[in-house]
Amino acid sequence: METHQSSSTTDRIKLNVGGALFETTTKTLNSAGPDSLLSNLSSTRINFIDRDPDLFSAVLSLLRTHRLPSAALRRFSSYQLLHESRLYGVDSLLNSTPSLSTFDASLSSPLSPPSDPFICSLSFSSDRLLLAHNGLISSYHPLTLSLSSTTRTHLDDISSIRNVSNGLAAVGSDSSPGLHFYSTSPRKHAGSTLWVDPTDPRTNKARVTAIADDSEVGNSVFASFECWHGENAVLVVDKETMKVVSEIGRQTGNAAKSAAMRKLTWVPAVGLLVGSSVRSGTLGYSGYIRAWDPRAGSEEVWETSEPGGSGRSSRIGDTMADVDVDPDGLFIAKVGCRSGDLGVADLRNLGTDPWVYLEDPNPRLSGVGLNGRSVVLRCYRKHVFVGKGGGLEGWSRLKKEGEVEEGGENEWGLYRRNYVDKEEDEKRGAIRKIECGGNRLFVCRENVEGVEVWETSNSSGWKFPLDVKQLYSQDISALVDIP
Amino acid sequence: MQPSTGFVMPNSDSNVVTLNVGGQIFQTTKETLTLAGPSSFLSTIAHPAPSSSISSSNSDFDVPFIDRDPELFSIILSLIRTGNLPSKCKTFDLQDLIFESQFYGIEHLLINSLSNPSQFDPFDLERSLHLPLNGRDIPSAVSATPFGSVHVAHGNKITSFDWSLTKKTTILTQFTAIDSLLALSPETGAAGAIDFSGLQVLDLQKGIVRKILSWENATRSSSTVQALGLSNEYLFTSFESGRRNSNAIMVYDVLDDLRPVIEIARNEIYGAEFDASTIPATRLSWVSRYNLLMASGSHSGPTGVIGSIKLWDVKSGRLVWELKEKVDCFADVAASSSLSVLFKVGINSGEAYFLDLRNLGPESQWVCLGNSAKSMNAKKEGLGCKIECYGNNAFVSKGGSLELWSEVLFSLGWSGEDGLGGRVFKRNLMGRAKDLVDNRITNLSFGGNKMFVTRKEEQLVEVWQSSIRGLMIMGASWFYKTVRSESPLNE
Repeated sequence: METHQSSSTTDRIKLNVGGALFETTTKTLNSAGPDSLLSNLSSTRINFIDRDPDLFSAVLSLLRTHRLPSAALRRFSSYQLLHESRLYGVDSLLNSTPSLSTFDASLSSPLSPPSDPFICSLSFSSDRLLLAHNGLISSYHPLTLSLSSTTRTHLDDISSIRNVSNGLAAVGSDSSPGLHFYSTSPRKHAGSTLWVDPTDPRTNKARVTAIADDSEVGNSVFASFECWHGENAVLVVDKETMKVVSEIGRQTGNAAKSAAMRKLTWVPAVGLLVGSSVRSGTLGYSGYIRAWDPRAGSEEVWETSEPGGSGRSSRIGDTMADVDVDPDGLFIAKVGCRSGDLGVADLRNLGTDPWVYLEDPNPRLSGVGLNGRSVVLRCYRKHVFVGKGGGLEGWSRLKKEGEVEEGGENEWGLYRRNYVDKEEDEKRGAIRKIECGGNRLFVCRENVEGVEVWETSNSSGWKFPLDVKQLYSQDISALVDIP
Repeated sequence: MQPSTGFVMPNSDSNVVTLNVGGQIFQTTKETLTLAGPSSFLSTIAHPAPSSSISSSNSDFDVPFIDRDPELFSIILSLIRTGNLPSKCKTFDLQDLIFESQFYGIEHLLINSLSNPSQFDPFDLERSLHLPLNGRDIPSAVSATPFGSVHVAHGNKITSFDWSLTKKTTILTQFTAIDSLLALSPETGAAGAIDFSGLQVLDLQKGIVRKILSWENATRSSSTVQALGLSNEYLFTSFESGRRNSNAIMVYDVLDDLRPVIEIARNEIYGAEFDASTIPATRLSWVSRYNLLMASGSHSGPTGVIGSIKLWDVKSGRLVWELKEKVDCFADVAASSSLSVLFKVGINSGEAYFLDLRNLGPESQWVCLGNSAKSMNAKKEGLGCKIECYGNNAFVSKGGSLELWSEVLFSLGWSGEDGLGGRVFKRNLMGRAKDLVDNRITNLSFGGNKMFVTRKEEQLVEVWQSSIRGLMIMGASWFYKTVRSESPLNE
């Protein structure tokens, strides 16, 4: 990469790592950013580093070319490479995998905790992946997906988990009251919050059905609490004090349109909290979506409910079966329970009927209804993943000519649909949960241990044979002197 | 040990040590070489005596020369620097590394990095390999050392595996069948049987009897061994006379060549009178936090199972506390010193119970961790259940399955909803579906970062260990066929 004339001798720097000599330029050392230990080497004039030279050569290659040599990846464990590059302060250059897409993802090795391996809930954030399995929380490194700790909670089954800042996990259970905070390192209970309404002691037994977190801007956790008699509300809980700050949208819960929220998403770009509840009963699916501005008060900003509400005549009977919100793409997505069609609504332009139904000419998928299959919807960085029964399909947007990355408007006509999985993947069981993060897709299936990991990879899976032994094997007999 | 980050300022150049190993130059610091410990000659290179002779100096540069393999040395040096093996050692054989680390006198660092009890993570244990036992006998007793060597008695033989589980020796003993086995060190063990007189201290490498310990009972008959226990200072042995009318616990000094220290808990049984407290102890465990010995024994009679649990002050030989069990007597009892708790499995209910040792008194009672209504069960669901404590956890075997009990500690101001006297223990089932085996578990033992399990009708020892970093598995997978399948998805 580096040309010879650009580097004068003063730019060159010699390093002695564990007795092996390395020569590089200050420019290379500085490429990790001003905070890295190596970029400070030239100024501090450290010239001897008592570390392993082979590992350093991998770190230096990472600095020079911004990628790890494949040979180093084969020779060293990802954990060790990460640890060593973190020591030199260049781990920011390690990026895991290419960005995830719906049309080019493949299965990589699954994650399966050794005890109670059925995953009830999961949450990904930039600093870790949390898996909740029965009463346990397992925390994984976001890049290497190596297990860092397992914490036992007092709950018997965790049904909602959300990673909140300060190394805390917020958990709730369908069978036990309260919102609970656990630290995973050190492994301990950090605090608990109950819904306490002095006028109604029944709220003390309220359970948590959904958790959201406003980590980018604020200091709050939003949790949907539901009493045994159905009454429910969203509580805003301060992360530091673990005390309830305010109550949003309290409702009786005696109808589908006032049932407790099953999904909560905080959308920092528009400052909205979006909650939804979808139920299936004898008369089919019913549910609602509601949005609040938590700073403005407890009145909702926008609401829609199905059946009825803003539904247009052509969509009667095709009520939503699942809903998800994309905080990056700023849209709400829903799947119709009969047609399986994807409807989207722009969060910046919500009105009485904001829905756009995506059309796709892909002949493999068009005209295939849901046929009673369960639906799980998940949006991630403007992609939409839809689990239908055991099958997994996804919507991604075509790139326009001359388009810069992260274009502004959502142009729904450019979205195309594909199967993410293969036919045999579908047979493993109905999809129950989908989580995305770190350019990976995590899929939990009914009655299947652990979680599947899907990622987009630039590797074709085929290795070019560089077998030296094979090349020379014929000539070896000629080299041996036979007396 | 705190590994250094390894950055050295130029003005401390004198700190840098240069070594020539097999023709390759290595440089490191005096601090790093000192980490190798006094048993290693590398630390003497860091601080050379005026007339040092461990290394023949190269006359030109005065660089110490070591005539060993440089590739292996680079791994040894990484181990000294960081306390951990580098992942590139995957291409080497563990036996070579052990041999090389013995040459450099740093085997303790290797053991520390691969079999340290602090690496034990109960929630991350998985069945990782099987240690086969030759012959047709199934294992009757298992005992492990703190750094993961394990001794297994099967029939009249004892097989010992070293800490890396890559080497074993099997010796023959005088017993017809060994019932009690206790590891005293990686090379020695104490063994006894309920049908053979005397406790034998054996050299498990050479196969010779070091010492025979017997109990002088009133009837001058033989003395059979019912149970063994160990503390840092003492070896405890529960003896019963051959005529089964007297029993006692003998205390021997481990640090003073097993000199008898005191006899406690002596019982003489006359006539037909029978009381739970005269049953010989079949389980002994040391509760280090309180300096007490827990002794328990039970008896199955026509009226049901009765038993007693006692806590003894060994120094004075005084009985500190006793609990006689009538309803849902224990199938097995274990003491956790770090949790200050006794655990038992009820023989009728098969449920786990705990008893808080922190406020022990005559009224102290078991707290049932499951369905207490099952205590009047006539089915004896707890028969054959085993319970062992290691670290802050209790492990309970029920048939072929394993339960892990751990305590949830709450932050101040929250006492939990269940109100179990402020202490909350929760259960998890260990193992994935493919780890589940039907055969009943007969022994559980813990050492280093591993759990050892033996089962009915299986001539092998299962090893459960942590999958963290995938590096710990390495040691054994080089030698034994592992039972881990590569991709559970393709089953």
